Amino acid sequence: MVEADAADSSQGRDPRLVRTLRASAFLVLLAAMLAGPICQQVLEMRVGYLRGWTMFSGRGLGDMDVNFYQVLDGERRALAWGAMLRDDDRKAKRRREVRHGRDPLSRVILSNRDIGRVARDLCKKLPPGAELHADTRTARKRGWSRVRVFDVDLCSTKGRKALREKPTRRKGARRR
Amino acid sequence: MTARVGELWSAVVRWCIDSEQSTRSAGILRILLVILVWARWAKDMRYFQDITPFGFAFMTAFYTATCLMLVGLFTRLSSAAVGILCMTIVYYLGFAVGHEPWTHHHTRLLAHAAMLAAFMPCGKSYSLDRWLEVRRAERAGRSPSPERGNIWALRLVALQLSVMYVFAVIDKLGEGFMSGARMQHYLLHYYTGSDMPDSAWLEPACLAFAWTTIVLEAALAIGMLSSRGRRWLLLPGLFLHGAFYVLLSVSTFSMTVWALYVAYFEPDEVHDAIDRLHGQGGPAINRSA
Repeated sequence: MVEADAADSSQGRDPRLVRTLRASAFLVLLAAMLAGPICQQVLEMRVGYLRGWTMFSGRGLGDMDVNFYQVLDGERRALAWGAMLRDDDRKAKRRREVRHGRDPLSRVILSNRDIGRVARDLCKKLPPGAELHADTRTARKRGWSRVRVFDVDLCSTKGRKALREKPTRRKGARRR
Repeated sequence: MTARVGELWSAVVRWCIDSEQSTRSAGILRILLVILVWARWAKDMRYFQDITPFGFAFMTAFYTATCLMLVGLFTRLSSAAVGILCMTIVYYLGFAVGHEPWTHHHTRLLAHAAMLAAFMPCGKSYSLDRWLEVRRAERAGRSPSPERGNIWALRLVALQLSVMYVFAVIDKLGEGFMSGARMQHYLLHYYTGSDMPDSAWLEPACLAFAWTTIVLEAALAIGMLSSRGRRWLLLPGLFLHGAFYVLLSVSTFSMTVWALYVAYFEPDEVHDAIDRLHGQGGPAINRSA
């Protein structure tokens, strides 16, 4: 500080004034730095340009984790459906019907309509007489949503209709 | 007790606004910031992208100010101009006009740092301004003015990083992140798609990653402000942000944080380290030169 005062004095400036201005600027900038995150994250207020530091808090929300099952003669078997469709996607020129992830060959499902589209592709690959069932859960800020189970054949008209219905949740439904 | 509080308060004030130290850290940060500003915004600042008088004037100002700041000519003025331009990009063109990509966290951090650079004596080292001062001194037969200045704005950069870490941790202290579910969401979003792997390791691994991130960010927020903490946390911090860069899409965020880590170190230590690197003797040789 002595050094700083000496430097200010040698430049013809009042060291006390300079220090006061510096302290004021420091406090103003510090307050501005804290205002955004305190407003948004502590007080939970949305004030114009004042934003917090919530990096990646929205990334991936709404994406669905979907398991498809092949049901044949009463036996239920989980399908590695991503791998099953990957070859098709790689070959096909059109693969924009379902949004793809950062990896262009991984399909990210966002809605029941997307499930229907994937189901349509999978139905072509099932053995005759097999049914396609599914369960889904959605990425939410607080974790995963409850599992929604489709215990009807998604290759049938009834199954496609079930995809259009509002969710009916089963408490305690288990994933594979 | 009162005396101890008084001492602590004095130490805090001294650290915040009364620290007169080497300006080399500020000089290094100035150069890195311009490179980062170009990396983030230069591709959006080409004349054909906005053929209006405002666009022409803004882009001309952008390149003039950043070029001058990079080489360190009229540094006080050019760094102030760059700070104002960066804040305009984020808060006016981003938030007010509505160009959403310019409102992301990585751009805000960069703009805040650029604005704070305007308050640093960042032209006193590694700059044409410094070169001109050295030449003037040689002609006048005196030694050049020391590479020293008040580093209060550099302290604010360090505090900005810590504030960012603190609030990042606060944001993660929710059920979603602490259960590891949000890590699974990132895995789904970036890598696996909606067919997530059926592995017994998945949930424990995501839980471990989530808690490692929380604990490390909390430690970085506090620990990087102390010299003992920096010794242990520098490499994990660099690794954490390196991992963010290669695993996710964080744009210039990781590199900006890496660059801003310079502000955590005492500038005199950085100065001494550079001197030693150049074989110019041991610690503190150049403090009063």
